[in-house]
Amino acid sequence: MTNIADRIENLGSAMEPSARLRRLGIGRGAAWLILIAILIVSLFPFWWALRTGLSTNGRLFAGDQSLLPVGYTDNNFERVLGTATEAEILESLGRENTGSFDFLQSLKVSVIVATAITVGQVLFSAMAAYAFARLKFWGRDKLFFLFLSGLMIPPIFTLIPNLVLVKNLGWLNSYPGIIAPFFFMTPFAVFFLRQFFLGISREVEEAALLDGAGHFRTFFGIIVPMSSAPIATLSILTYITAWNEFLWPLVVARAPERQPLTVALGQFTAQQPGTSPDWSGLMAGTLLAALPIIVIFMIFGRKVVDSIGFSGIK
Amino acid sequence: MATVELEALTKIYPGGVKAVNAMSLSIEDGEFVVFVGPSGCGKSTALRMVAGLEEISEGVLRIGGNEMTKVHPRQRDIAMVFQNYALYPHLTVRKNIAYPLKLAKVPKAEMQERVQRTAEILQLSEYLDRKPGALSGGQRQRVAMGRAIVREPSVFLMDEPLSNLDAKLRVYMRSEISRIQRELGVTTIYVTHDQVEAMTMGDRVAVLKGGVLQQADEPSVLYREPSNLFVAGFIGSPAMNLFESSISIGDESISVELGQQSIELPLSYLDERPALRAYDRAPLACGIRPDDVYDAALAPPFEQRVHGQVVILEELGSEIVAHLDVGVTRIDSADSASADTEDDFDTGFIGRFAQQSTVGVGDRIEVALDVGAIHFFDPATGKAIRS
Ligand SMILES: Nc1ncnc2c1ncn2[C@@H]1O[C@H](COP(=O)(O)OP(=O)(O)OP(=O)(O)O)[C@@H](O)[C@H]1O
Ligand SMILES: [Mg+2]
Repeated sequence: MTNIADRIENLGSAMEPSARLRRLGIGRGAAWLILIAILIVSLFPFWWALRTGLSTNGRLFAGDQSLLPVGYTDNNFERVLGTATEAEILESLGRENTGSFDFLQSLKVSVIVATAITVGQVLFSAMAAYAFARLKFWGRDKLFFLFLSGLMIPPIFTLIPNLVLVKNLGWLNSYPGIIAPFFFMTPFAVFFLRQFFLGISREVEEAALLDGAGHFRTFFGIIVPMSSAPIATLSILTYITAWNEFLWPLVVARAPERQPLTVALGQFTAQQPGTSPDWSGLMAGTLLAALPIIVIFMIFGRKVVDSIGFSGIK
Repeated sequence: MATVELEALTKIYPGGVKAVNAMSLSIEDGEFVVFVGPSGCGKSTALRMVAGLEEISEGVLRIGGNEMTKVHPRQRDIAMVFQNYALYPHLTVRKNIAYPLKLAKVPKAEMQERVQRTAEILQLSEYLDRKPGALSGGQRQRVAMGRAIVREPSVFLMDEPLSNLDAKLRVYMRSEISRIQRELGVTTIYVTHDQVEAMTMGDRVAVLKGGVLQQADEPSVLYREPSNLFVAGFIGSPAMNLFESSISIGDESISVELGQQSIELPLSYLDERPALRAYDRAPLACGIRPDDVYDAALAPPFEQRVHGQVVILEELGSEIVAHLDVGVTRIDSADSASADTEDDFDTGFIGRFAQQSTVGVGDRIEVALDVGAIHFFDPATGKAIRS
């Protein structure tokens, strides 16, 4: 009896739990410190934007470096949303409102553009990726590598040709014009999904074929649902990229009612002679514009991270 | 339900590999045929040609009397069970099984009823609402079977469906598949590289080697009358003893040489195999199954004896497998797989003794041979000398 009890005790001390815990504790502590530091560094800009957005413009220019809002006001957000009165504008801005835009209209443009681009790009990329992964046709692999080499062309190279094309199509200041260059597949999206499709067991597709499914059925009924994780990832990444796109809409959408948020926010930096930029308005607007993306990421972020780890990309 | 006819079926892969070479086989309605052979012999390729997953390079395929050589897999009315089950991971068991019916636009009520019935046959009823990820290997295997059964196809094709299961479950599923196949009476082609599986399951077993069909017969015929050296060495475990030999036909008997020793066969043996006369005093391949080698100490009713030394003993409880050195030169039956694994201690002569045997390693013993069960093969062509 006592013998066994002794042995169990010996076993316990052999592992020296306290020492192990301590070692683990130091490692963990360091990891946590680093993580917290990274967190602060990455969150600080958001805080600074919020702090500036809640400040009065005039006080900002007095050079107040406080970490907290200076001359706290929520007028800036109201200004951006167009719900502020003249008096409130004067109070927060210190002058007449010069750079203003229809926030809700631009929000609508951003949502329509990003949604259309995401749907189009993911759908067409997935179909192309499937073709490159599975269908047999002449010159398939050569074509794929040619297509991949598109990754190496900086987007700026295609800006002017695309602009000329869209202009000739009469699509300036229109949704098709803003969406078109991004609507079809991109090399990265095709590459990303093709890698995943290649990993799907061929037997599953053969089973579907014998069960009576054609290519389209197999693709939409089997392959796409089986790839929901990478497709969700790609969708979110595409949505964020489309949401943040600045240069292209800037050149094709001159009309205010077709400007997405990224472009429209530029209004705040448009300087009038003798005045200074409306920093607090810009920050308030930027925060509001980023809000939908932050929400999307909070909901789906986990899935994205999982899937990126899973597919071995990055 | 249908017959399947393979007529000189040939598959040449791009790159020139001739995976299946002019394979001809006629499978009867309701028959369970097993394709067996070593790895890479073309079993899967032959099956996939029947399924329509591989194009047929040459030859003709008929199912139920209709030519199917170029017909789309969907129209062949076949169902296939894959080695890795190939279940749809995002669908529940119920939907997996129902999938082929859904595509065939079977009415909802009938579909449910058929899925239910299939699940009962396979004892899957309680798992219907689970996804494949939450099933054990054996259960997944049964779902795969269910997806094939539910369609009531005219032909089942199975490519090593049990190879991912552990030994015990494999034995159980073997009998399950046989039972279901008998109950449904559906023509079945089953691929395996395991000759025990082939022999226990098949009504007929087709042995392939290097893309060429060697012999297709009932298991007992395959065992008793292998048509060539390869089949003789491949079928049966432990494998048949095959060694170089020669015969001399005397006035009263035939003398068969076993290394330095010899045994006598009655002249009447030639009546059954007149072709053997041509091999008088010529080199020859001789074969005898371990089952026909007896421990002489147990007084078996056979008179012909040979001496040998016990090299290795495998005591299996019900029997004793003795590897003997009798001084013969072993012949490789070209079954590379078994040659690889047994080379180290292959003496070329194995006896399967009753458990009462008291032989020990190193003993010089006498064994009795059932000479009636001896096989002769042409050493050049490998063909059995039987006529
Ligand atoms: N797609 C292909 N292209 C070229 N050669 C192939 C292809 N598939 C199989 N082969 C070759 O054809 C031969 C037969 O292959 P098969 O898959 O039919 O063998 P198997 O008998 O099923 O073997 P295993 O027991 O290992 O599954 C092999 O030599 C193989 O290398
Ligand atoms: Mg195979």
